[in-house]
Amino acid sequence: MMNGVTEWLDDRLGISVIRDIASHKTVPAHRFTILYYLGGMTLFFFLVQVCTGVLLMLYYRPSAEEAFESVEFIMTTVPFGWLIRSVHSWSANLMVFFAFMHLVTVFFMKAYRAPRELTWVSGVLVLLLVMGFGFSGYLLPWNQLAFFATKVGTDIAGVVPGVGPWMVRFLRGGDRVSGATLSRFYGWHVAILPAITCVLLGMHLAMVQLKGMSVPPMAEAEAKTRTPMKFFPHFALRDLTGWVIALGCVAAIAALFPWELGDKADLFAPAYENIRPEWYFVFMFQTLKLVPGGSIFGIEYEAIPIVLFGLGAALLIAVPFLDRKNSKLFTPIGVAVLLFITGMTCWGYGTILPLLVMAFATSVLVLLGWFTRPSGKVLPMIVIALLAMHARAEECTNCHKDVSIAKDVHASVGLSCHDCHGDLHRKPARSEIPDFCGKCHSDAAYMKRFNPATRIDQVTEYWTSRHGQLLKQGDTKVAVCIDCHSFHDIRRISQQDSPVYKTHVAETCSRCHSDEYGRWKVSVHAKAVLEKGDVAAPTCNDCHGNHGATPPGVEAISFVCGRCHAREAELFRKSPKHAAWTKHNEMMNGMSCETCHAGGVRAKVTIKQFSECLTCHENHGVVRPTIALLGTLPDTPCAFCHEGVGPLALRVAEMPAKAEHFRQVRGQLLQLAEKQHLQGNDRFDWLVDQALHLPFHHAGAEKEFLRLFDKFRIGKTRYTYRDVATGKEVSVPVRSCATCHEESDSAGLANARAYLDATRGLTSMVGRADRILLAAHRGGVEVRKVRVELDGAIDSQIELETLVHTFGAPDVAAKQKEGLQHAEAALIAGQSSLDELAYRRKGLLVALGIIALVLAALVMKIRTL
Amino acid sequence: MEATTTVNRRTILNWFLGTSIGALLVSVIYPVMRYMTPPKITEAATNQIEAGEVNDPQLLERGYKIVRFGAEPVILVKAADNDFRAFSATCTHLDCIVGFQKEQTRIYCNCHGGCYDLQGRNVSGPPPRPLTPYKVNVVAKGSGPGLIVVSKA
Repeated sequence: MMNGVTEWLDDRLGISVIRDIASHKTVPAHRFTILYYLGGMTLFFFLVQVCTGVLLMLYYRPSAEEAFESVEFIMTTVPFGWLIRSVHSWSANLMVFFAFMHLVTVFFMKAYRAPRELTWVSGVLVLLLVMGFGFSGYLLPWNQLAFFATKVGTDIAGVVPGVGPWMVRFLRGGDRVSGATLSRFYGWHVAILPAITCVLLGMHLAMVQLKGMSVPPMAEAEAKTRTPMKFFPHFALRDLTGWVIALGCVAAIAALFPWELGDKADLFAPAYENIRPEWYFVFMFQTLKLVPGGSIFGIEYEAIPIVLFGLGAALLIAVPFLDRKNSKLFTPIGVAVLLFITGMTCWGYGTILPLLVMAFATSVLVLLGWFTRPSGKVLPMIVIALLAMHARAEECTNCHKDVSIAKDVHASVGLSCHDCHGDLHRKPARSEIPDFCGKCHSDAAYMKRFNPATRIDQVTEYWTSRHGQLLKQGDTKVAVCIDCHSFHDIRRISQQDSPVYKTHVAETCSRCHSDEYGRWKVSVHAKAVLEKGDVAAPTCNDCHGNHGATPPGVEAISFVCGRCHAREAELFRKSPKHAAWTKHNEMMNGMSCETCHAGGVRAKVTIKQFSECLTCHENHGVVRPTIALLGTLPDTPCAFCHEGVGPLALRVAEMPAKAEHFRQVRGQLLQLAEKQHLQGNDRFDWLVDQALHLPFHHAGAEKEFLRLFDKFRIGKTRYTYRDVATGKEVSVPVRSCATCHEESDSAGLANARAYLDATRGLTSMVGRADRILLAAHRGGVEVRKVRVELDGAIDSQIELETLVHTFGAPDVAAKQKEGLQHAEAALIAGQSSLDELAYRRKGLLVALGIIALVLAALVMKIRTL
Repeated sequence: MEATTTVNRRTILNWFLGTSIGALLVSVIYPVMRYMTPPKITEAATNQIEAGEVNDPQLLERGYKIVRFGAEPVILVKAADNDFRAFSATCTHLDCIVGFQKEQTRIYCNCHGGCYDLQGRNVSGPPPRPLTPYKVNVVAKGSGPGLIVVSKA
């Protein structure tokens, strides 16, 4: 039966001819035979690309509006969509890597010699096409990274002399990267490039069959002594083994590290830090970065390396025609080029990993006896890029040798000594300085020459400041212009090395105001400015003013803070506390407590003036508000994440094993605390510290847990700062309701307790959902959509926290309910993400098991041949 | 004896190789088939829509209009003054969208000549079943013309 069908097909298709050819085809056997598999490996990844690419087309929509969403749909909703896309992305990179390896080995084995010139040419062209695939495919998910990489990549073409601008328009389908570019790249990626590649690859493969494998010159003698290997089945089965291993590897990588989705391209958002193209373009990208701006003979410097790269590609194609006499020169040139590419890639990434990869690949070759003879000398690399700044010689500096204004902003706009000092041949006195600088800086007509938008009221404002008023009274120890801005070395305030640049202001003020600086430095504002580099967060001059610096008055504080914390200030100003405090402040003017409270005061402390926000938050040491502010803390901080309140308790319960572990750890910690006789706030603070160092919280995720602690406002009841003047650590308790109010005797404290319970309930739900999402995300499950729900819950939580400023909080329950709904939705979706993760892991295990079986079968089969 | 063992070994080996490659193919084809099956997307259920005013010019002139009921097309026919009827506009024969012929007062499908009467019953041509009817109500809207509301029957 089977034979009948085979014969029938053979009559029509001539299968036996192919079988005949295959049975006669042999592969030369020598110590480099293994390198023949590299081409086949590249072909395998190409086939994977074709299959997964076709599958992706079923759901992908090539438009700026829908591209990102459709990829997100593939990653989150389509069954196994994440797998198909991840395999496509990973296999693309592996294909490029193996194509490079194939090229390099073919080059060094000199397999391009006659009669295989065209095989080489078609191969190099296919490699260039593959890079084109990589470049065009990178844009298709339409995410930020892709968008900027494409912007930069296409822009580079613009500097090519002559045709540059046309090329940019041709590549982008318009003047800028937009939806038109996306459609165009899609067309290239799925139709034009595949069509050309099929033809060239077909030729390449046909020529390989026609001319057979080339034997490298250094192995010719060996190949003559050994029997060639039969292509079928000997070589083919080994090839298949490699393919199955590759399939297993790519499946494992894709399942364990799914390709990221990123954020949707925003055409008006600033570029990410360290934006760079795919790794195989990095060496070109890095080279271009080294070229300085400017032009020579009307050609931009940038164009030079681009033209050189083009020339390099042309030379690469022409290698077989250049190396006709089997020249010895080509191996060292190849090594030099390889070193250049690897070196530039290392530089671009700031890591030596690319070098290690190359070293690994080379050591494999070394093991195969590649360097049996000296490989020639490595070409030295010459780097010339030194531009000397020529400072203008100043007459005055002939005597004032220690004065240099080379870096001063005034020098940079062409001013010199005389422009400030005139004929005055002495230092201005401190009391003269404001007017000395004001001579120009208050002169609108003069200043407009340099900057039409500049301010000219600094000196006027200065005289209204506390500094200015004291100076007028004859106190010359106060700050004048030069104390903050320096002199002869003045930078623009926008320059990072200026002493009044956002991140340096506090340090500059600290030269006189050291205690305030010590407190500010531990504040949430300082953290934002110094650690996160957030230049919108306040430093000294944002609250006090800069040239007109004065301390804000009591009645102005909620307006000062309210510039950023608008909602809090608004709620506070409407709250009963605000009205009562204002009244209290007015009454206390010239009175004492006893004037009203004849029978004694119930409060624990006497306050003469309530200074609005500062009453609870302090001024310079505004630490991030934590639950400690409320003053009615639960026994342990653990409760905030791991235990719900009331009926919620069940919903945040962990899996039984985890829950048991948690109970044990907490029990041990409490015992330890008991041994150290810790009670109340001390115990709470100690437990917060311990929690941050727990192995589970700590292992590899320390930052995550710090973030969660911060987010959910779990912090200690004290904070410490270093006093700059004495150098000593000062520990200050966080002000809380209990600072003033007696625990047993306050309606306000009961309010605070109810409020704390509401927050805690929500926090434990959000915390649980956040932990689950974190686990799912680390496993590579796309959780963007679920995050939206969680963000909703967190938004409600933030709003709930803000409501504390109403000091009565009628909306607390409604807000908590809203947050709980979001958190519950996130929790449910997070659970299914975790289930999905477990399913992926199981699937991978099964697939790898099957692959192992196939490999075992193949190895046994090969051994019986 | 020696020859039989070799043949046996070879057969078993081939069987092992074939089966494991088969299993590998299944483990590739299974996710691919699952991938190609489009995921179900739950649409928001529509129970009621507003289909415009009673003096809609299109309705007056042609005697009918097709309205969107969620993702479903629904045909709204003016049978007489203040007598509106609505049916699923999807022909029960082969999924075409039906129209209304005012002169013959019948709902007609251009694709294969299916005919329905104003009760939605399939009266001639190939349709196997009647059209699904929808409920129509006219609600007063202030002093203006009434509003037609179509809802699931």
